Amino acid sequence: MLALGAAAPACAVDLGIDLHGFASQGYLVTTGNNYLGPTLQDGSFEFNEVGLNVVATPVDRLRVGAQVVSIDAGDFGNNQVLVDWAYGDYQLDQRLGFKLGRFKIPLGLANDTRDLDLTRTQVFLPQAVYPVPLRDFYIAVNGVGVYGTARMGGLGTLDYTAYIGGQNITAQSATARYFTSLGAGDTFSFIHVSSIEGGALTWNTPADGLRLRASLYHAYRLDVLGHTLGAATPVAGVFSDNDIHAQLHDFWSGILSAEYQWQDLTLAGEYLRNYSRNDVVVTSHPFINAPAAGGPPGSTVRVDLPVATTSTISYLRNEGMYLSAGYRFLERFEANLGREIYFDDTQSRGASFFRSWDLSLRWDILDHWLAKAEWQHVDGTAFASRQDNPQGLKDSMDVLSLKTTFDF
Amino acid sequence: MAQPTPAQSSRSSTCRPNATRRASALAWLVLLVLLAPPAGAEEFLIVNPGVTGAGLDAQALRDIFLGKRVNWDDGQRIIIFLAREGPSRDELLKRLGRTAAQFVSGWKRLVFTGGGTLPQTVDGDPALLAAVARTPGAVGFVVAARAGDGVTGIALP
Repeated sequence: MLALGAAAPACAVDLGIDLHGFASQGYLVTTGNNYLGPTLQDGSFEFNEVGLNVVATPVDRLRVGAQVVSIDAGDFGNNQVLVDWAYGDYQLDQRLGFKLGRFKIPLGLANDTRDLDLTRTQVFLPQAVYPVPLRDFYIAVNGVGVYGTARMGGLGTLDYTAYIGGQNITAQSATARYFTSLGAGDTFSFIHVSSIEGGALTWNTPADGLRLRASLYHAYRLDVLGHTLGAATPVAGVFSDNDIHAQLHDFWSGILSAEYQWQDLTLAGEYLRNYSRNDVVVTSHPFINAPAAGGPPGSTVRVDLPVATTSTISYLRNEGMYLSAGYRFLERFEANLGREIYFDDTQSRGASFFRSWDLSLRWDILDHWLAKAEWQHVDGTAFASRQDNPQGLKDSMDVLSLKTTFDF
Repeated sequence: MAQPTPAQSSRSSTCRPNATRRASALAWLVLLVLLAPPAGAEEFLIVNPGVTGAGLDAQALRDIFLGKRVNWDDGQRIIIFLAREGPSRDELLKRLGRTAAQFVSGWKRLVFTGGGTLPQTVDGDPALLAAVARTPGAVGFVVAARAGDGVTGIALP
């Protein structure tokens, strides 16, 4: 029988200090395209998460804590140790509380649990709404937040939360690699977000088990400085070193969410829209490799051509949605069926998109140890990345993932 | 069904004057009467005697056991105790509208996002009553309790 809570030692209560952690290891194999690394033939074990947190309540109303995580998903993460969250939480009463520090961003039903395999049935969150490459962009804010719950009599309760602050996205982060796919360069020297803010409203309706959420995220001015060395140009024999300054003005993400829990059945659906206007300035340093006079046969010397600057404006208009149904059919077994649809550009839906079905099975082997298997069939080319598939993207692929997670 | 009765507060002392002790006992008796469950009620929110139970209702039970409310009105941290198995656990989950798996998943979500401290589990109602009685700020849920269990009981409709 599933046990509730944890049998923590008495000292955890007396000192008000709690220590918890989790560790996941997965295996990923695909057909059609590589996904999150080289997964096509033998698959990949570069698929894990480890986390450790400590929380204390030094004085009444105040809770402080921090969690570090290490994540690997193919070329993303590479098991760098990151501060996942570290903040103080002061709850005046249930209607009003404050957070100060680095804390998770409330966006949709699951943004704050992206790394927490143990909180869901699926191995992968729906990628149409929670893409792995953008984890660092959405995961946490360094700033201040306010939250609370309002009782509304017979209308249920309303949870609110809002935040403002900054963000750390390093030039080595997973998100940086995502910008490569947008043409912002092969390497990055600088990525900076001026500020972010947002919030969420959750209505816990009078219909038992039904909750609705609207959440919004806004990043003000995202600057990316990228570089591409020796890129081919339309002119034969002419190459170019390019410095690329991409500036995303007012990046907006909005998600509408609904979840219904009835006994062992959980239904969920979410709809995402992203929008930003992007100014891209490319400073090209073209050159040719001319034969070197007086040098060894075949040797060349670089001859620089006049520097050129081009400026373009583009728009990012993503749209993603999913529906899922999960059912715990035995005490320790749960299955989930999901349908996802994603479009890169809402004004050109046929150009780049994916549609997928996924079927997941979760087995809670022990109270703190679980295993999962998931199969996903994907149609469309917007699921896998071009970096993982230099040979070109195929229209159809399957993903089989296995994962096991331990927590304490 | 006997209702839970308040125990002497952990702050009570053997050197306290008799008059004070009698006043304290009388106060507890009044509280006991005020908190007396209606006929037929068998479910109790139980709190440590150091906690004021005023204003606790069915919604408060949901808020506390789902991790939304973490402090008592006086700012003291709420420490949740749960029966690992049995009728008290089953009735609590029914009131919360959660299965055991959903309940556990919700709490783990809180713990690993910094939003809460995991409830403590104990084996059976006697251990639950004892834990709540001896832990300042503690709360639990039982379907029945015995007189002299040393906790304050709030009957739930």
